[in-house]
Amino acid sequence: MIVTEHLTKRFPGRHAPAVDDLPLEVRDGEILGLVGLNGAGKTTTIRMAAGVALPTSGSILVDGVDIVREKRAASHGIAWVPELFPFEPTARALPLLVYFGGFYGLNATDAARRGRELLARIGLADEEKGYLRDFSQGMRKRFSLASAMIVDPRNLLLDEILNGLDPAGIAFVRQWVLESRREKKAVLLSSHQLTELEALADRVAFVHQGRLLRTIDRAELARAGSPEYRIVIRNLDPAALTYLASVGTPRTEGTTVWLSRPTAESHEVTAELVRRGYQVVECRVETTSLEAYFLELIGVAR
Amino acid sequence: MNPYLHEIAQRLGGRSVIGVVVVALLAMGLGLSITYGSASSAGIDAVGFDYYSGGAVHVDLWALDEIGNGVAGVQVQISFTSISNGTYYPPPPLPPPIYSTTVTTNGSGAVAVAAPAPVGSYLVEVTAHYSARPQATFFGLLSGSFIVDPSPNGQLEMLGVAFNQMPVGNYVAEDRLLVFWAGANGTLPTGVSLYACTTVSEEFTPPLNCTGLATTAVGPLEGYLTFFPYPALPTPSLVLGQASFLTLELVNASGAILLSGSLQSDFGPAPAGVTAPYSLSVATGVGVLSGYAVDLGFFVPIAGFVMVYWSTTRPRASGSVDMVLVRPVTRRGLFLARYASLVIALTASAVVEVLAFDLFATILLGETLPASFVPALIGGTLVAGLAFSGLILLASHVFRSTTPTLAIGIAILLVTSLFWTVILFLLLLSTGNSYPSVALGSQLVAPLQFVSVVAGSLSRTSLFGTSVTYASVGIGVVVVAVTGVAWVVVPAVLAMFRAMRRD
Repeated sequence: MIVTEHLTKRFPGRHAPAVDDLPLEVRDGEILGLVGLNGAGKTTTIRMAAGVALPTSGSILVDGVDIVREKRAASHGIAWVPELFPFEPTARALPLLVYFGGFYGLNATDAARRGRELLARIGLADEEKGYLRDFSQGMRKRFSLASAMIVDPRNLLLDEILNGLDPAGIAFVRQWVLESRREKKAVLLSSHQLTELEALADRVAFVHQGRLLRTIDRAELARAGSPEYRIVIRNLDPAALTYLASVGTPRTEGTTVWLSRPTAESHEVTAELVRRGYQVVECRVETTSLEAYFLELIGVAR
Repeated sequence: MNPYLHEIAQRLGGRSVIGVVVVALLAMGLGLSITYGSASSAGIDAVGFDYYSGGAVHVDLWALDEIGNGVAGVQVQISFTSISNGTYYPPPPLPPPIYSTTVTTNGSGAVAVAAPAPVGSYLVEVTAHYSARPQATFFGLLSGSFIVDPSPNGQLEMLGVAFNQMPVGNYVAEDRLLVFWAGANGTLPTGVSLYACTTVSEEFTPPLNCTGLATTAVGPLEGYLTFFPYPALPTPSLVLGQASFLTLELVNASGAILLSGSLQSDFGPAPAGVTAPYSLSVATGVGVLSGYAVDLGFFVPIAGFVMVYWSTTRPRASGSVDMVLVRPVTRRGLFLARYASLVIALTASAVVEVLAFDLFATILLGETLPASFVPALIGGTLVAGLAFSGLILLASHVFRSTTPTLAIGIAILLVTSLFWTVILFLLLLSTGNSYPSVALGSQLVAPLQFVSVVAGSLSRTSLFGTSVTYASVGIGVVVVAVTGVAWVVVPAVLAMFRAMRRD
């Protein structure tokens, strides 16, 4: 479990705090999604929870242990996958895992065995002697997973973990995250891929300008989201838009109209458009409810 | 294993230590080169004279080491060849030598050879070998050739003279004057005395002799080679840009000046009461050390630079240190573990460097460093390394990229070693102090000069070309120790606190 209380981070030379009095709770056996615009403070929050950045004030408890005051004890319970895995150009895959394993008391033999298992598991079995500088972005992301899994901590901090992964990698991460939840681990998952987050997260915390706006669970999420119709009209004209404005909030892109906050069912809208002589090529109900909910929450019009 | 011991083991097994080893090997190579060069260039000097007497050509030589002592056991091969035109370049082919022999210098370093020959001109060829210093070269008469011309009997003739300033006791730059003088046909000089005077000049032009100046009697010559203590002359008051000169003249019983010459004795105002004007320059371990200390203080810091760069500067700049900080370590613990590995590596490097230097001095110069010097030099070298590394560590934790840290490191290296004279000049202008005191005192604020401070304090040598020792400007053991501790502790502690706060 990870709990933050009044977590605040100010960077020198910046007026506004990067993280402002943030309360978060990631429960055991739970995946908490962290959603926010760029610069909202997600990465800074995760870095502080990982113990690599120091909070200006507030506390972070990892399984009840303050990671600032009792860093060593708390860090035993933390695994962190950063968005971009930083490495030295001279670093090679297996030796780096062995090096990391040494901090947890693994001897070189055990760490090497564990490292080979992990590299095989993430599809890098043939790269154990490879230099990380020669890895593709996806391979580096996979390696960062192995780096986090060198031991089996109770709390996972995953920052934009899906970026740069191919479909197989995404499937692996999805399986790993769900498996961790089954093992009653606490998972804090930050991602811009909201559909993926929507599918995985038990709860979602929305942050904006360093502050927590709201935390909702899956049931609330289902209720909170509103549908959006995507309608393609071959002979679209201003009169059609006038009609659509009466049943929702339209916006256009070529012959495509997105109708948000609709007040009528999609088949009713389509029927009326056809009745008025418009050639409706397609009408689809979009399911970007989390994104829509978030944008609505922060007051950004789509 | 404890994570910090794991980190130390990792650092000491990493490629940064390979860099340290390479740098130490380079230092050893340079030490060997310098020691070899010193043994070659600061070798055995010689004085001698020749004359014709009793139907034989006589050549008397003295082999002297650089502190003026006779060198016994020098094997001298000498041959005499009659030449007709009295030049060094007689038309070939030369006739065969009329006399050849090999002799060994006695306990006083002297050798005398007499070749039976009629009156005439002879080419005398001399080669020498001294097994104790294989690389030693021989100056003066012990190497090369010279011409012996017929000399009328019964007439006083200047056969040879040398004014030397000699350190004694191998390490301490007490100055002596060496006068070599032989009478006609090799007779011992009688009634010949040495006089001295001092002058000041802005044009670095010494006077020809002491005529018209206040003169001090140094003493009579009592043999071919006579050592005199440095004469107690008043220390002239100098200003920047002036030089003082010691002028010596040999005077016979009737008051006629037989020979005179001048030596520059100081570059600047000397502190009151300090009169010994010359620095140590001898082919001994300590003597070479006086010149090599700067290099000892150069390589270990470079080794530290390499290690800090790979252990801290780059990981900080690239962010890869975060992947370590997420492990069960504290920032302070990680810093201390890496600093401990630095201390271990640099200590090993300093030990190897100093012992290697001592070994080279033993092999090439026939003289080991005094036992008390070795730990002090290792300590001084380590201080230089840790002080410089501490500054680099501090810079690494202040700046986020490698460029300013590298720039600062290179600037410190260049300024405190190669361009130190520029700093001295600025200090001279700004403080108004004398050159010697500024030169010695300023070494305390330059980490790469610290080994020079230790070496100079140990050997009690004076600044080159001046009479000023470290002790004379207040740099004693306590000052050196406190400065060394401060240089090690202050940058490291500042860097540690910075490391504990930096994100």
